[in-house]
Amino acid sequence: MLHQVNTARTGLSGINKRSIPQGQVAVHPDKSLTVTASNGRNFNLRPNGTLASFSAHGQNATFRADGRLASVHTSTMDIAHGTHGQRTVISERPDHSRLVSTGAHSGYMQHSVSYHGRTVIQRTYVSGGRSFSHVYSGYRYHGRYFDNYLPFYYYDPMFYGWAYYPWGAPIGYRWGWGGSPWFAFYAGFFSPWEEYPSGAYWLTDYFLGQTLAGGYQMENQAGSGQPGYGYAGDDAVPAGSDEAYAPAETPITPEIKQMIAEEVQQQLAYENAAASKPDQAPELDGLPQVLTPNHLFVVDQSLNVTTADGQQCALSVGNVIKLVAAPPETATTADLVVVSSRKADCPAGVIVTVPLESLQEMQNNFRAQLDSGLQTLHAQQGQGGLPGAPQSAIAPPPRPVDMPPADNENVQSLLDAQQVQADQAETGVTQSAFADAKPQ
Amino acid sequence: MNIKNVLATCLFCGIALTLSAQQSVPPPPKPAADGPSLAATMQFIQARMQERGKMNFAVYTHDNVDGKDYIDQYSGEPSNFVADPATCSISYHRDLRKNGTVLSDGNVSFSLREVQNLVVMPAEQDMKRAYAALGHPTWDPRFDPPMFLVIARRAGNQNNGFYFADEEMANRVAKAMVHAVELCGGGNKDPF
Repeated sequence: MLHQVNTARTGLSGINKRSIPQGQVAVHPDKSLTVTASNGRNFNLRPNGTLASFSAHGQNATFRADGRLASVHTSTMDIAHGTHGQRTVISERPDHSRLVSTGAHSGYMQHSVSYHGRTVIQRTYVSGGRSFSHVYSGYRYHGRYFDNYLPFYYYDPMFYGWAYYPWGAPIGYRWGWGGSPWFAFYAGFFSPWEEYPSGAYWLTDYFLGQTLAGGYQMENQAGSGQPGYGYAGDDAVPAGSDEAYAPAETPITPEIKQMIAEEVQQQLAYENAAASKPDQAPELDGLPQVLTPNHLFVVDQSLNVTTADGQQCALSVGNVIKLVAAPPETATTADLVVVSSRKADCPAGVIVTVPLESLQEMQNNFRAQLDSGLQTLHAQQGQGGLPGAPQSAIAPPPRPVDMPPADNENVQSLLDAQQVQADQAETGVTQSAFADAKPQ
Repeated sequence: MNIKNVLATCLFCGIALTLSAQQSVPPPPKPAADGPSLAATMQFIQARMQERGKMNFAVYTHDNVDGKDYIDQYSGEPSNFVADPATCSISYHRDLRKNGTVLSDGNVSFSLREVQNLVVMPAEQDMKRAYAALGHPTWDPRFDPPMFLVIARRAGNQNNGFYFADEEMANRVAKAMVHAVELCGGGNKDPF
C-alpha cells in the first residue's frame, strides 16, 4: 500500500514528492491515510497522497495541498503561514512576556505592567523601522481573557459628534497614496471614495488604508526561510484537496465600505461613551459590543481557519468577514461569512470559524486605526481639504490616557532571534519527518 | 501551546472585568456649527450675486508718461447664478462688454473646494495689476462709479472675479464665501 502511495507521490512536487517512511498504515473511510513510522513519527496523507500533517515528539506541522507549510507547533513556538507568504510566529518567553513576529522585520512584544495602581498589557511594536507602544486593558468574557485596546486620547463629546454626524457638505480629499507601493498592490481590491460626507466615511478609508498598508508590509518582508514553499500563484488546487482557495479576488465594494462606515459611526458612539466612563471601557467600546449579527470585521493579520464543511483556508490582511450570528455564551469561536477576499484566500461566500481572540485582535486594530485617525482629524481639521470643526468640538483639549512609559527593550533584536529560531524549527520538523527516507 | 489559545493566556486573572451583554449607548451630541449652515450660506451668496443685476461703469485711464487719457465703457450682467450646497460649486453666466464689444459671454463654474483664498479689493487695484502685466505699468485706472472686486483664487493662477458697486456688500459676500469654502473643505492646502 505505502509503496503504491510513494510511487504515486513521485509525480508530485516539493515535499509531496518525498517518500513517506515505512510504517504501519491505517486507511480511513475518506481514503486518507495515517502512517505510523519509526521513532514516533505520524504522517497524515490526503486521499490524493499529499501530506496533510506530520507529528512527532510534541512537534506538529501541517501542510497545504501544494506542499507549502501551513503551520508548525513546537513546545516553545507556534508558527502560522498565510497563503501570500506571510508568517506569524508566537513564542512565550521565560518571563511570561509574549513575542509575536508578523514578518521578518515587524511584530511586537507583550507583557503585563503594573502602573498607577492598575495592571495593563503593554505591547511594543516594531514596524517599518520604527517602534511604538499600544496599551490594553484586560477583561473576561465567555470564560476567557481578552486584551482591549486603550486609545491614546479621549475627546470632548462634541468632537466625537463632529466626526459622527454629516459635515456641512461632502468634502473632496486627496490621500496622497498614488505613489505608494501598497496602493498599487491593492488596486482593484480597494479604492478610496472621492468625497466624504462625514468623519465616519473619512475614517473608514483611513482605517482600510492603514490596515492594507500594514498588510503589504507584512507580505513584503515574508522572507520566512522556507525556500520552495513560497506562494506559487497557482490557480489549480490538487484534486482531493481539503483546502478552499478563492480563484479570484472579491474586492471591498462601495457597498461593503458603506457598511463599514456605519460601523465606524457606531464605534464613535462607543468611544464617546467609554471616554466618559473609562473604568467601564471594555464593556462600552470592546468586542462584546460588536458581536452582533452581520457585524463586519476586517482581518488584521493572516489567519488559518476552517470552513463550515471542514476545509482549511486562509484569511489575509484586508479580508472582510461578517458575523453570522452572535456566539452563544459558552462559545470560544464564532462563525463568519467571507464577504471580501483576495485570490488564494478563503473564497467569498464560505462560512469560516474564527476564535474570539482573533476577532478581538481585529477589533483592536480597528479601534487603534480609529484612534490614530481621530488624532489626525483633530490636528488637521480646517487644513488640507478637511473641513473646519466648530470651536465647541475642538476647543476642549484631548485628554491623554494615563499609560506606562514606553518599554526600552530592544524588541527588534528579539524578533530577529525569533525569526532564526522559527527557521530552525521549520527545517528541523521537515528533517525529522524524512530522516530515513530515500531521496527521490 | 496552541496558536488559537495562546492569545488567551491569562496575564492578569485577578483584576479583569467580567463582561456579558451588549450595552446600549446613545450617539454623541451634535456640535452646533460656528456659523450659518452651508445651505444658508450658499443661498445668501446666490441671492447677493444675482441681485447685482446689470452693471455699467466707466474706466478712466491716465498714462503718467505721455499724459494721455482713455475712457472705456463697461457693462456686465451676470445671470443664472447658482450656488449649489450639494456640490459645493458656483456656476453662472458671464456677460461682459467693453465699449459694446463682447469680452466674455459664456457659462462659468468652479468648485469651492478648489478655492485657496478670497480677497476684496478696489477694482482699480486689479485693473492696475492687469495693465502692468500687459506692459503698461504707468497707466492709472479710475472707475466711475467706484467698483469693488471679490476674487476667488484657485490653484494654477485661476481666478474668478465678481464686481460690486457696494463695498460693504462685497465684503459680506466675500466673508460668506470664505465660510462656504471652509465648510466645503477648500482653502489653502499648504500648511506654511
